[in-house]
Amino acid sequence: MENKNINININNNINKNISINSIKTITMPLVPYLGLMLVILIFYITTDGKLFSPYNTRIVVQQATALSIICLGAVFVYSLGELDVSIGACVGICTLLEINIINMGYPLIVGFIAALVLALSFGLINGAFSSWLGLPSIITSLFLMFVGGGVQALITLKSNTITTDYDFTLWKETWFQILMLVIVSLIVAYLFNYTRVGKYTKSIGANKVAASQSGVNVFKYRIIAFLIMGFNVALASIFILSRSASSSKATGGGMHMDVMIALIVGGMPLAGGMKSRFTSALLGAFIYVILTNGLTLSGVGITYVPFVKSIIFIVIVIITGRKKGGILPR
Amino acid sequence: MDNTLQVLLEVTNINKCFGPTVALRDVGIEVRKGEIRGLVGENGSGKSTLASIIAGMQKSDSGEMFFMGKKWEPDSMIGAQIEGISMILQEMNTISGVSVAENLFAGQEKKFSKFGLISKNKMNIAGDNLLKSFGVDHIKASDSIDLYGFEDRKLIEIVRTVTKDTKILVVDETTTALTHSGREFLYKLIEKIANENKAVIFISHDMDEILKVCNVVTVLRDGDIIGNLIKEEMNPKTIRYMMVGREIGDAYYRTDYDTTHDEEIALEFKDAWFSSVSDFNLKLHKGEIIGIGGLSGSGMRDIGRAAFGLTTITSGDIECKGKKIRGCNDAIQRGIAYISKNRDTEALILQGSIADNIALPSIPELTGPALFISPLALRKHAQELTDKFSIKCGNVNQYISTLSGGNKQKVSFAKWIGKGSDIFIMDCPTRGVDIGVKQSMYQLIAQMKKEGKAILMISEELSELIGMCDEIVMIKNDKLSARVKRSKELKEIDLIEYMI
Amino acid sequence: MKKIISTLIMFCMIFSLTACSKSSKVSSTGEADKATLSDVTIGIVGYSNSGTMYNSYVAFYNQITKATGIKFKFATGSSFDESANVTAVQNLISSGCNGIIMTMDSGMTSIIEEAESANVYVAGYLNSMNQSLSKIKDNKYFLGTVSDGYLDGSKIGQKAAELVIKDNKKNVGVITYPHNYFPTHAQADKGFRVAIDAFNKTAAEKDKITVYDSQQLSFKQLDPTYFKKHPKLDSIFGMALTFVYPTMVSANVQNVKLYATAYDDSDSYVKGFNAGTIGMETCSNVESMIYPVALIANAIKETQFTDKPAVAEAVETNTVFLTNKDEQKSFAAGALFVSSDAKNSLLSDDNIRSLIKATNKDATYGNLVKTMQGWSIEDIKAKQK
Repeated sequence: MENKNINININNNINKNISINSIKTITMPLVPYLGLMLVILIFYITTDGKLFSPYNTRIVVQQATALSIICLGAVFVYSLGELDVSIGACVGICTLLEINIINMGYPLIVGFIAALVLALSFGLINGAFSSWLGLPSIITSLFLMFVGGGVQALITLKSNTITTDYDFTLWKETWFQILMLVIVSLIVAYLFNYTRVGKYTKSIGANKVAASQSGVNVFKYRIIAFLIMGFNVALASIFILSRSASSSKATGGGMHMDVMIALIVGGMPLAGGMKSRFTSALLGAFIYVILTNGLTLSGVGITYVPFVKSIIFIVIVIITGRKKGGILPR
Repeated sequence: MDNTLQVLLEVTNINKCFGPTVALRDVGIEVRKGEIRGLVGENGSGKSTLASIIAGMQKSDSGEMFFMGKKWEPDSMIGAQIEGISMILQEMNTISGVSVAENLFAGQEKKFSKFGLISKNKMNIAGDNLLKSFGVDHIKASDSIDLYGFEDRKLIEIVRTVTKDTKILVVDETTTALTHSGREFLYKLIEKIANENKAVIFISHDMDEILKVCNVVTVLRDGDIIGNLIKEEMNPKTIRYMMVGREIGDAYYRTDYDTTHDEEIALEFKDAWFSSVSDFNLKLHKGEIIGIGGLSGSGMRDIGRAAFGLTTITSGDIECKGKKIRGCNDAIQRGIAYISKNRDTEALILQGSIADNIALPSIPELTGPALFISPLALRKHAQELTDKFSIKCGNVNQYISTLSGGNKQKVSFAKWIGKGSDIFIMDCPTRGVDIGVKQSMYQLIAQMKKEGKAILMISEELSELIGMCDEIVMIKNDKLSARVKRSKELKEIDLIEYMI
Repeated sequence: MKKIISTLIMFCMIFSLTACSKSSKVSSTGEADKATLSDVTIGIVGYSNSGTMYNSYVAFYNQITKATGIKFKFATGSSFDESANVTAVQNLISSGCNGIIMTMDSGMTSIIEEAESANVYVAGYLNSMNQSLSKIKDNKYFLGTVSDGYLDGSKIGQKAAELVIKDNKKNVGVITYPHNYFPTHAQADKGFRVAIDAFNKTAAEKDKITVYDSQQLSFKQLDPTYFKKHPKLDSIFGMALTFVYPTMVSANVQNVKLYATAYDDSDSYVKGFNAGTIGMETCSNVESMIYPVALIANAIKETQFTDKPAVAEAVETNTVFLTNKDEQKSFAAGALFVSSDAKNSLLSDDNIRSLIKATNKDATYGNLVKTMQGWSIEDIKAKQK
């Protein structure tokens, strides 16, 4: 009889710890949503409502589209626990390819295919070569970043910037951008949450050895992750090109940092793993863009903007970071 | 004999809580001269907590202790050691980067210093003498401690801990990390201490060891003292009953001696060479349990890894159902399952939920059209397996890290059964698992044999191999040293000579 | 717990920063005497939000605000990254600007498209917009641009040649920025050589001047080996002041006189003039910002100059030449560009109002351009008092 009571007491404690954990599991993913709502609310107030003026909504969507699309692709790579710093150079060369092709008179789709081939090659190098050479993918992506940047500079050496007269109005229409965003998000959501692609990449990020011992073909799925990201980069490059109708040696520069910050702000763990969520791409990209936009609109001195952004970044990392170690005392 | 004169240590009404968890509840024991008192219990029973309070590593919340008739309130392990109670732990407790002598006399350098200068020479001589007095000849005091492996460093630590002032030595799970010779050294030392009218508190999970070494046993369960047994009363069945709180029943290991199996060969090693193992030959049939035993490091681990495609084969073949195995994924496709010894790092994804882990190998089977994996189907699959294996949890989406070791091991089994694998390679399948769960696992394995599955059981626990396997293959120095068939008369001693 | 606190702190910070900086320097602080143009808000996209140039912008536009009520905002752009410029313009428009002044020619076609859709007028400043001008000049939302000094660089080359000849220099090196990025430099180079050739035709043999081949610097400091290569060098026509002079200083080159374009008011350059190692610097007047401001204000108020050309053009403003240490001193003391003191402005508040048709119905385009092109070092000297 005594024993039973003792056992019940201890079971209650264990259950309490388990329910605290369930609460944590539910609330943690909500933090980025809260973040977005708070950012919107605060800036709505400080900009006297200008945040939602038709003009501003249009430019926010325009500024966020390309970033969101790339982030959605990057979700797979980041869930592996890896990074890609060659995104910027890839975007730059993609836009260069596209602009040159359409300036020669070919339709945009040809340009897109060329850019796609390039972006997929970048993905292959990062995904496959890194495995074959036994290097972490960050090394291959650094290499690609330098090579890509060099190519960009070389091509644009003669003429500072290459411009085009191509009619990009469709790509600048807000409804089209939202439509593309929705389509890409749905596809990524499906692949990430309802097929083995997302489940496998998350497992690899969480524990590569256990994943491979449970039947996950690590080599294959790393490549798939990078290829998916490559596709998204090529698609996003058209949106980036459409904004300025030109491509220079600086196009795309720094994009990889924007992606990293956006994903982290959106709640993606840097080490990848089971906690990765595709929503962090959308939430993060929009928070990031609205932040810059809102700060400038509210009249924050331009010098303060990077400072404020870095504070927010650190705070969000602290909030969504998990302590190492167990949950129950063992 | 007046009992009270014999009592070295008396502990009463000790309570200790860690947050909401009660580790010790009103616990009291007596330790007498000449006793080698075993302290046994499941994980979480409180035995380590009690030992650490006695040895000065932490304080109790309430209660009293009396050592040699005086109040015992040690404020640190060093303080306790000086007064006469020393403890050896399981983890490494020596200082890297300095010499053996400096480790032996850590904290006592003053004894060897004149005018503030430490005479290394004197320290080394004293060190060598000290080691010799323990019968340790192969370690030199002047050497850097980094020259020595884990076991030798443990020996050095033991020599350091057991001083002439030591009246009670506490050994906390130290033997799990030692090889045979290391354990023998420790057993001899323990005997010597007991013979000198001092006492030893011995904590271990190994039932055979407890029965061999201790002359009295205290059993704890969930923070309570269940009872004390003297030598005559000590037998595995009773001790297990006290540890778990219910009848384990006679059936712990397999009770049948039916070694029949199918004709079909499930797994075959043909003159295989891999890592350090050479020329290995073995045939595993459907419905057969073959055990692999030996010292850890003898190469038995690699046998399992090679069969699962984790280690490359440099010569010869390993075939599964007649075809050569080409890597891990191929092995899995053919129906081989591997349950690694390193449960938390290799077999399971700790960050994930129970469902994630159980379903992972079965994802290809759970995939519908257009690569769609229905979350409902996945959950159902996981729930069915969880129920079938009685895995104790709130719901299958719970983090797997919230489960106990035994339940985690159940998940490892369940995920392969769920995939439909029929060849199981298990490495130390019951390591760190509580007795109740251990029993159910043995029953499961016996059931799997009946269902025609082929099982390769690699284990360091000889009693487990003897109790469960149709045939035991012993590995010594990376080579097959013996094949022994299952029989009632088979004892551990018979096998030990094939190990060392 | 600490996580909740850190979130709260962060949001308090953003909130207070945004609230406080509503009254920051970024927007103009001048009060308007005549509030007639207060519905005009102009956003300036510049290279940097600090330094002499930035300060001079602020000084001048504060004066404009005082005189007319026009409000100003500022954002930084980039000469290479077009989408950064587009973003900057979009954000300025969204924050209420109905006019934009661009100082770099990057992303202009998209910017004009953007401006068109938002009914915002754009004009250029300190830039001849030679890459995009042909594409945007017909758009009614692009009003024109004023360059940094002479449009035709050959006039600068001629002036430098005059000084070289006057100072009796015989061996001149020519150093410029890359010609394809800076066509004005190419023109100046050519103009310089043409002038020297003309001199050489009529000069005696011993008086002929040798001009070495041009060296184009890709925004890197001049390599000191240049002086070893040309041991008889006695002067340099250097169109990259801040990339040539520091090398001369560090290599301790004594006998070469630098005739440069661009201006720098820091100590070592002042010393250079005093010691005679620098023989020429050039600068344009920040007051030429009145050109884009006037055009934009007129357009918004729908009172554009009647004599404005139908198609937008690039006009030049006067280049001020500093040819000796006195002129340098006067410039430093008297130019609004350097002092950022509104007292030194070449335009008084009344002048400003009179140049903008929205505040003076008799104002003309011709007069605006003439005023801009008439400023010389003499006017600046006059401001010294």
